[in-house]
Amino acid sequence: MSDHSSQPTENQPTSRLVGVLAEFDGPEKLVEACNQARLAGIRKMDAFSPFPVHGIDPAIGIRRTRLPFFVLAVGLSALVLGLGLQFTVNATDAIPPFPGYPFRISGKPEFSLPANIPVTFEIIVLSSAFATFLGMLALNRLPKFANPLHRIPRFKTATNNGFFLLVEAEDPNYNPREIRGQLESWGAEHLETVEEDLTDQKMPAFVRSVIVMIAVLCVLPPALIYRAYGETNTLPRLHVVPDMDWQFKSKAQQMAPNIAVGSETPDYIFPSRRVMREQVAGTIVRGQLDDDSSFYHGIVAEQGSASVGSEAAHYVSTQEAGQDAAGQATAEPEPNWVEGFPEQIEISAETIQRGQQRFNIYCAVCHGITGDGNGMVNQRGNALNLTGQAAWVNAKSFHDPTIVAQPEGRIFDTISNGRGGMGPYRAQIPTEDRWAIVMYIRALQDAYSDSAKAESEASETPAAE
Amino acid sequence: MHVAKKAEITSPNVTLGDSSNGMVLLGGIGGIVLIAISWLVSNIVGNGWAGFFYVYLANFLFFVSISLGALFFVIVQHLTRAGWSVAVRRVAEVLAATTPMMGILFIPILLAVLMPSLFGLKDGGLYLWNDAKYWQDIGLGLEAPKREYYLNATFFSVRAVLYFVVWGAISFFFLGTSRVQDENGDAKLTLRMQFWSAPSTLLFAITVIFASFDWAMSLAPAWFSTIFPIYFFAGGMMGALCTMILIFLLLQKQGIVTQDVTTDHYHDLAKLTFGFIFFWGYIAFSQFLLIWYANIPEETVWYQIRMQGGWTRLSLLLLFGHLLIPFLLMMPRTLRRNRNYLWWAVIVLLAMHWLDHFWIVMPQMYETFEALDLGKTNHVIGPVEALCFLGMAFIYAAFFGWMAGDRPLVPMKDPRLGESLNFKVH
Repeated sequence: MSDHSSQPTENQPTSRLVGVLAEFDGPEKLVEACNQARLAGIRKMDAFSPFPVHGIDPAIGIRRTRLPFFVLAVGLSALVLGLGLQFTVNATDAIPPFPGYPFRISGKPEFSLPANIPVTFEIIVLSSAFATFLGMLALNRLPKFANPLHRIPRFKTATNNGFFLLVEAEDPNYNPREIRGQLESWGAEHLETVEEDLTDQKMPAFVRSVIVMIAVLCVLPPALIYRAYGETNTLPRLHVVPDMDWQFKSKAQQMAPNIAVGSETPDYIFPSRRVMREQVAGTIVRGQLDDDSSFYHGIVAEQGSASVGSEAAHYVSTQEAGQDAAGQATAEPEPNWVEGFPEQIEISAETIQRGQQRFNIYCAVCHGITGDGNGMVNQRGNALNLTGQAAWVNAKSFHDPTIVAQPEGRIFDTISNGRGGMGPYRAQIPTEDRWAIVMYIRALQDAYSDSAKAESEASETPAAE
Repeated sequence: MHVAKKAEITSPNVTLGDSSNGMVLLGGIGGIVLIAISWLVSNIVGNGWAGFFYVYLANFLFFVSISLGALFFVIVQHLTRAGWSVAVRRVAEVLAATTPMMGILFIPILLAVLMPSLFGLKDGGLYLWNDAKYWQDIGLGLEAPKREYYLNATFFSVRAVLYFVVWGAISFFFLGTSRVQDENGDAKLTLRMQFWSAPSTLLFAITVIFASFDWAMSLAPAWFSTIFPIYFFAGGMMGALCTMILIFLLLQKQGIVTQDVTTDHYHDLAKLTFGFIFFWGYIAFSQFLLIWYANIPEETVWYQIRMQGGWTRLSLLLLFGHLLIPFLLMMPRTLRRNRNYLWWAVIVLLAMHWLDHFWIVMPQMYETFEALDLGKTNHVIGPVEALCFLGMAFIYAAFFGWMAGDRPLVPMKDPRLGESLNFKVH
């Protein structure tokens, strides 16, 4: 609204008297003049200086700001709002218009104060910050688009080296005849009458429509959300960021995509169509060389074949043997199984107890707590066999003479790599624990044969007292 | 309206004068007598030697946290080149200089750890970790030997001595340099203190972290919380600011430093108190929330015993009395500038700070008693606690009098003195 010219009408005033602007020599003079003006009963005045002047606020009679109380009120409202929000969305589905879901997180109650505090705290901080900033603007009546003072060239020094006092004409104690003299007597160096130009005060027409449009646009999203709330939709999902939703990546379980685009013959990164390069045969995970054959594989190392390569190759072949042994026995001759236990394993009650614990976790579900081969899974599998819903192969009883006769290394190998219908447990059970299980199985077998012997003895001499 | 700016100390009286000798004598003797009575009472109606040591430790932690808070206050004033605080800095310096003196009060605890049998303490006594059996039974497995390297009587004592040496060096350096400046007004001394404030901060942080681990957190040797030292420090800082306000109120009542410490200084100290009330609450809640949410038994056990029986009431009292109510009641500017109000506010806050340490230490006593099968326990804050607190307060006053002597309680020639004397909160 600067020099936009428009014709002033006859009966309307073209300007309004704002007041008198006085310039002073320095901050001390300004504060003194403010005090004088206040003592003379003038209330509506404002001081302008290039830097904050100590003591100017009480001098021009500015009250302490009410902003803190405003912020406190907003902060306390935010406390209620924050807790209310979390209650509405997470603890109940009974409050319209946007009922939430009662939703349990981490086994905590649906509405649990400790978990709600951080969110509430952040909402309070955010609201208080906004309240402070916007409240400051509002209390200062900002933003102000035009100020008549800016039309006075001398006033430009107010940001540099000028100290000004504006006494407003609206003040009841403002006397147009005396004020100039008063200001001069209070030490004013220069006086200037401030007038507001009233000729062009209309807001440009487009501003109003822009404001209305913005207001309508602000209402739109919540209205659309409200309309769509709780509705179902059969259309496919909208992909806002397609190259994130459809990005090119290879997942370990996928087949590799054809990279020979536009060519007749397809081509893949690796011939096997895997998306990841296969490991070179004999690759060993760092720290898992497992070169102690009797401990890690239950096989006594052959004389002269102690080199790492042959051991690794042997390991791979054992693995493969385990894999294709799903139905038929492998043609490979029986290796030299470990008899007894490797030297790392201490034969003690503690180890057996450990083995019992692991056995009951991993083995007993199929093989049964006593090792008779009739665990819960086995019973269920047999039941399903009857209805033809499964082809369950009975779990082995450890008291079967063939298993009793097996060397310890062989049982260890069965646990490690699986055999028949049984899967490998190498990954789940650490080596020491597998040996402990073997030891427990031996204990079970001994206990079974002892009790069987005792039973048969008892039946032979029935009346012995 | 416009007052000429002050540039010099104008109070007629800025020293404790001869009364400092009285404080040392009366405080020292009275303190020792009161603590002795507290010990007697503990042996007659309380929990014996062992119970007495827990009460003693809680009180020791209360006072040492105040001294440490004051030490940090001094360091941070130099670190930030603060001008407003010059007039109140000397009292903080004197309070900080009581940290090495606290080493004297630490001797009984040290003896209880090094020679538990001397006091008839069972199985290591005060700290459960002070007994090899504990580490075998605790079921920490491979973790136990690692902790035992750290938590054993010898290393504990070495560290404790180290802490007091470091705190003594820092606090005597700042008090001494500031006092030299009283004589010659050399601005270079201010620069020197500024230079050393940064390394002092690091040393302070490291020593306080491990001191709080050693003295307070290790009462529950299997429990751990990395935020615990900050919790200890935050409470201590609030305690130190309250103590400073209380000391100035007392001094001005006696007609000392009447002109130089103004309402604006009280206002700023109260503002910092307000800040540290909330900081304490923020840290306390952070510690609680993480442990509560993760819900891992080895961590929750510490809070579990504090959320049972009578301890619940104390925990809630701390929540409301140490955080929520003071937060609201220290917020208004008018109240922070009202000295009559501050009298009551700082006394209540210091009481809360004391309860905070009571809350950290005492529930562990019952745990220990249960672990060691010592039987008899009581849940009330009774004569043992009161007498021990009074006794230690007497001794603390004696330390303050000893450190203050008849020397000025405001810096006389600090280059920023004028800024502080004319300090106004706008």
